[in-house]
Amino acid sequence: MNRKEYNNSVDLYADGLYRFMLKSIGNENDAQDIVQDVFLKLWEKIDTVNAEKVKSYLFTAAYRTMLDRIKKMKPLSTETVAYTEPNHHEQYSDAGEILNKAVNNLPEKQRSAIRLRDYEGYSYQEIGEILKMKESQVKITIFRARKTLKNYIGSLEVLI
Amino acid sequence: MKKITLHNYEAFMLDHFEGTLSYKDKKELVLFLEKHPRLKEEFYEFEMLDLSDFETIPFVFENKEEIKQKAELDVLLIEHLEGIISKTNKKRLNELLKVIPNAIQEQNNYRKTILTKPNVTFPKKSKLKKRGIVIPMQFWYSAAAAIIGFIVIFDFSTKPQPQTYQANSITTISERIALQKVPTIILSEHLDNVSKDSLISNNWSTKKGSNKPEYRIQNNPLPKTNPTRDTNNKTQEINTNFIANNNTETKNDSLNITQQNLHTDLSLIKNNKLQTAKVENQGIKEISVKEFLQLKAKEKLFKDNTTESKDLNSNNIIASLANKLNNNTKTEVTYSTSKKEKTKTTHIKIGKFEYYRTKKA
Repeated sequence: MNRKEYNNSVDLYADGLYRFMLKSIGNENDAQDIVQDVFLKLWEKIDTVNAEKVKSYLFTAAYRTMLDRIKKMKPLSTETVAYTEPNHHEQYSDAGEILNKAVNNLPEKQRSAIRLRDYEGYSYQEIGEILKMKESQVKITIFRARKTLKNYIGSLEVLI
Repeated sequence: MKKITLHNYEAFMLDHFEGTLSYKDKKELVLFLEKHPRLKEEFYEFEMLDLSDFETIPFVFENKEEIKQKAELDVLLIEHLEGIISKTNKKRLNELLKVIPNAIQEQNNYRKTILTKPNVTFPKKSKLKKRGIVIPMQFWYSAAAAIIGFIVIFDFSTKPQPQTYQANSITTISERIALQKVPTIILSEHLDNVSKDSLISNNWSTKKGSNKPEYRIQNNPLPKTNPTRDTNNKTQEINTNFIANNNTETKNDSLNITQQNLHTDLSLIKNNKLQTAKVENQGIKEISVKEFLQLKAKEKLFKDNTTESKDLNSNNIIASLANKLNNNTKTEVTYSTSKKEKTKTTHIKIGKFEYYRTKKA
C-alpha cells in the first residue's frame, strides 16, 4: 500500500468508520479518537497492509480498539455514570429514532453485526472477520437481532 | 415426629395419600381431623380425587401447524430482507403470506428493522491524510517548468546575454549571400552565439569519408571588409576571409568565413538551400536553412555531433535540461526514466528533493 492508496482509504472509509464507532459508543470524541488511532496504525503498517483488504483491516482494528476502551471504561462508568430511569413520556421524533433505541438495547454482537450489515453493506463473511465469528454465527446473530427489533417495533405499534 | 397443626396438616394429608405416612402419624392425623370437622370433609374430598381419570381425556394442541408456519415465515422474511432467499423459498414465502394472518404486517415490521445510514462525516479527515510533494500541474509540464526555472535563475542570469538574431534575418542574410554566391551555412550555424564582436570561422573538413563540418568561434573582432571573389568562376577554392557586408543587422558585426580545401559549387546555393558537405565524387546533400538550424539545435542540446535525428520528446528534453542544470549549478540535478515489463519509473532529483513515480507502461 502506498501513500496515495492510504489517502484514498481516508476518503473512502473514514466516514463509515466514524459512523460505526459513533453509533457503537455514542460519544463523538471517543469515536474520533478511535478513528484517528486506527488510521495512525494503518500508516505505521502501510507496507504490510494490502490495499484491497484495507477496509476490513480498518473496521477490525476499530472494533478491537472500541472493545478495549469499553473494557477500560467499564469500572469507571459504574461509579460515575448515574442510571436514569426510562422516561415513559419520552417523545420519539421518528421511526428511525425508535429503531436506534431498540438497537442500543441489543446484545453487543448483534448490535455491531446489524450495523455493519446495514450501514456498511458487509457480507456475512466480512462481518465474521471483523467480529471474529463464523459466517453461520453471523447469520444467526443477525437473524436474532432482526427478530428482536421486529418484535419491539410490533409491540410499540400495538401500544400506539 | 412433628405435631400436626393448622399450618402443616396438608403435608400430613399428602403423605397419607402417597402412603408414606407412618402408623403413629396416621393416628395423630385421625385425631387432628376429629378435632376439626371442616378439615375432615376436605380430607375426604381430596381422597376422592383420582388424577388417573384425566389421563383418558385426549389432549390435542390444535395450533401446532400455525406455530411452525410462523417460525418458517420469520426465517423466510429475514432471508428475503437480507437478499439471500432462494427461488423455492420465495415461492413458499408468497404462499405463507397468503395463508398466515398478519403476515403482511410482520413483513412490514421486518422491513423497518433495516437501519438507515446516518448522515455522519468524519470532521478531521484532512488531518488524517499524509501530504506528499504536491505537483498541481500536469506532471510533465510541472517538471519541465521547474527545471527551466532553475536554469533561468542559476545559469543564464550570471552570464552575459549574447546578441541574437531573428529567424527572418537569417533568411535575409542567407538569400543575400546566396545571391553573392557565398555559403550561408556559416552565418546560420553560429547565429545564437554571435555577439557584436564575435568572429566566426568555419573550417570545412573535407577529409574523405567524413561529412561533418567543424566550426570554431573566435571572439576577436576583425575589421569589417568586403569580400573579394570572382562570381563568374563557379568552382573556386576559397582561402580568403569573407566579411559580411552592411546588409547584416548590425553594422559592427564582423563575420569571418574561412573555407579550406573545399571545392564549393556556389551554384548549388539556390532557393535558400545549402550544402552541408561536399566530398569529391560523392553525392551532395541539400538541406534548408531551417532544417539545418534544427539539426544544430539538436546537436547542441544532446551534445551529440552526429546529425542523426533524435526524437525531441518530453523525456529527452527534460533529461537534457536537467543535465545542463546539473553542470551549471551547484545543485545536483538528475532526471531519468526506466522501463520494465509493465511499469515505467520516472526519477527526478533536485538537491535533496527526490521524487519517484511508477506507473503502468
